[in-house]
Amino acid sequence: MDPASHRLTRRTFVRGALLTGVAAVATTRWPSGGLPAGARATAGDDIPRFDVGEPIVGVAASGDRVLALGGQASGPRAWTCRYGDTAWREVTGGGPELPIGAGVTDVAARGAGFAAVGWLEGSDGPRPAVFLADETLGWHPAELPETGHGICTAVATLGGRTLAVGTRFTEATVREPAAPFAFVADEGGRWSSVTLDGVPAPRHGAVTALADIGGRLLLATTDVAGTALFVAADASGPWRAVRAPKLEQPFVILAAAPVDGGVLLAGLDTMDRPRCWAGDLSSWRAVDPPVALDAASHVVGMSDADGAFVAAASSLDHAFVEEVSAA
Amino acid sequence: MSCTTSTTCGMSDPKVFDAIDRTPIKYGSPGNYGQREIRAERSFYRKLEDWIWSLRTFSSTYGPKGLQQVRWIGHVGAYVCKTGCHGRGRAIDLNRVQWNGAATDMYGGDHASTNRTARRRYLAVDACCRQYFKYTLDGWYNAQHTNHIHIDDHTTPVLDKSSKSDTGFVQAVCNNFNGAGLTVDGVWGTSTQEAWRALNKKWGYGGCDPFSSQLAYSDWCRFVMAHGFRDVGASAAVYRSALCSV
Repeated sequence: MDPASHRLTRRTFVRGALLTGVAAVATTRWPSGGLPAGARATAGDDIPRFDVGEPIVGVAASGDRVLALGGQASGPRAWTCRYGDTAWREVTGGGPELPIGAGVTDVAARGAGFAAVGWLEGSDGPRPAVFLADETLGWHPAELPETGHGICTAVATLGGRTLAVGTRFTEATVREPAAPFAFVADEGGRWSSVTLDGVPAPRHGAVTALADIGGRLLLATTDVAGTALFVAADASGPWRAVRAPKLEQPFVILAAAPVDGGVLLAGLDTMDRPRCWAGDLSSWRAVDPPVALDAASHVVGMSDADGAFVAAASSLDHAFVEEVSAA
Repeated sequence: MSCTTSTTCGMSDPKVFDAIDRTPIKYGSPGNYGQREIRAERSFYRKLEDWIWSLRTFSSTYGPKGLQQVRWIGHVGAYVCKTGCHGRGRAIDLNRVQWNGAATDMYGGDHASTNRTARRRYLAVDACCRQYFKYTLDGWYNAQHTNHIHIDDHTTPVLDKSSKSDTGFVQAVCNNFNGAGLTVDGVWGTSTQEAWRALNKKWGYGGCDPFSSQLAYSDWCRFVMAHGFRDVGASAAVYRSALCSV
């Protein structure tokens, strides 16, 4: 069957969004030929289009609620809509908001709510930060073990445990990655430090993606040696190295999602070209990136649950949300 | 400009290049270098042009025959979508400077070489970077930088005693050009202060404030470059400055 003609039903449960550039919104598609069989994508209309003149760092879905998180440093913002809504709304006034002075870098569903990660700028420099929201979308900072200056770069939840990873800085003023750290917590539990057992410390690099790929977590790093991928069956590890895609030039993996028994990776090369691969963790084939993704935009997040497909992309100063659903 | 207060990566005015003012720039490591295009913010690239002009001028003026022409620059990454200045196209990790008859091999750890000439040449390259790029993170800074020098233009390059990178560099310079015997720990204490004073007295730097003036700090870096490429101690006093010589 022609993938393009694959009929979506209204039952197709949308938890996904494809964020793309201003001029491209109306035509955004993930080319059906670019996705593995069984994960054909086409435009849906159960989630309204959303555009904003801010960067977005990630999109996550919890139940029928979709949350987009972004904003500028020190001015985090969140937007949400529910399946069937006619418009997105900014998350304000429903409870404690993300604090001024915080920067956010990623978001994941956590129980009935969400976990956002990033940093909190203090008088002595940036400290890693995790913010938790329940279904009311009121945000509360999590109490983290002392780890020095740094930022959290990625978060994911697996089996009720949430893993937040990041990088320390050698000095508060020199915000170049120096050493990784990770925190783990069960839902409602305390956060504790955990070693990324099996993940060599990136050399002047950092974790660039962390995702639930269907019963396992996938973690991507980049450093002066290149890009590496690891998988773990538990948020506390241990981690096992798996083959990473190969390219003729440096690239990073920014997002991953399970697709039809395999995994879809989205990344960006050093020429700012979106790159995507589908595979089974032992071999990868390049697939088309989202068409109409403007040159300044890059995919920043994807996830998959119950067959629905989530993708997010952004640029420095604008981002868009548009439903893309998988049959 | 700050490049570390962004929530995502990207550039506002990118430039694609595979050479810095006609000097090829090659990605890789020894035995595996290849010239290929990279991207950076245009304003950062312009500083790279200033940097290589200074490198060429000082290595050819003060260096031996083998340092008369900068043939190519090796690196191990520039713009890449990760946290920090690399994610904003305002950083590059240098791992080799190849001249016509010699090289500074950051990848091979020349900062810790048993050969003093190699160490001094490394410091000359390091100093050249510091004229234009703050932060410059070298092999003394931390374990992540023992095989490359990271340069970015996060902020104005002036000397800062509270900076681990700046202080470690000064300590290494005092050791390698004036036999100071300091522990390179990045902490500016009384021993470092004394070594700093002794070094500058010996090679004739004074009357300027490198802690507040970019020009004065840049001039101090030229003292390091001249002595490093000439491979002489501070007492040789081979560099005279119109700005900061006493």
